Amino acid sequence: MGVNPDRISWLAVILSAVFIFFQDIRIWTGALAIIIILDWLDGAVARNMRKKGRKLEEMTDIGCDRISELLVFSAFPLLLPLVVINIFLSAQRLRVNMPIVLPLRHILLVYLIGVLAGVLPDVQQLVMLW
Amino acid sequence: MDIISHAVFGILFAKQVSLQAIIGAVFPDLDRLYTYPKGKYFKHGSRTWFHELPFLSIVMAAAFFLGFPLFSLGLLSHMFLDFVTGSTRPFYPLSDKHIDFNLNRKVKVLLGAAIWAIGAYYISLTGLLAWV
Repeated sequence: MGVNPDRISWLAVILSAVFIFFQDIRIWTGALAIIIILDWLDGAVARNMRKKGRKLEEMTDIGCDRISELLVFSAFPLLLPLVVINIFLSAQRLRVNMPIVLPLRHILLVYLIGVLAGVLPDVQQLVMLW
Repeated sequence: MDIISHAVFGILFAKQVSLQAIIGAVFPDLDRLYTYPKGKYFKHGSRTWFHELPFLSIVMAAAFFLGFPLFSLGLLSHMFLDFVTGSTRPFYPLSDKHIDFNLNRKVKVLLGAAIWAIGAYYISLTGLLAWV
């Protein structure tokens, strides 16, 4: 019985729905931190399984990351075009093995922590309360 | 997932009974009008580029900037629900690789029933009958 990296990615996608159902910056920050940890964890588990000889597709990880980004950035809809760019970069990555994507969620986490700490301004116009 | 679940999930995502959200939530299923007559009923075979991330993410962003945010949320609810429960090719037509989490059929049926129940409760609270 082992941990399946696909299930970890799936969990991160489910957790991303927090950005739809809650409007609290502290909840967002906590959820985003957990999502990024899960994202790291699924990669670590997948690498470990590959070492043991199991062949794994990276497709699930990439697909989950992009869906997760769409959910997270639906709370910051003015930034949605960046997510669209990331989707096309990911598709390109699958075709020519060019691992270039924008670390949008990581930047957002740093920003949210900065806002919570009072270091960065809360850019209200980026947040649209649907 | 069935079209009623999608519509209800669109309402839940929008947090209001909105025609925009319902239309957005069922919009990607329009490609069934193309695939079903060809006998493609199941899994990713029943889905065209119209149903996947590259096209839908552009429509979602465009709908927001054109002033239809609830339509965007409806679309997002459809992508989310299909992705976590079904078999998708997220980057089609740019990539043909597909993702399937192989959820147990019973889990899917239970999930669908839960969405219907939560949706019915939510709609009763928000007064869909008055809205109709």
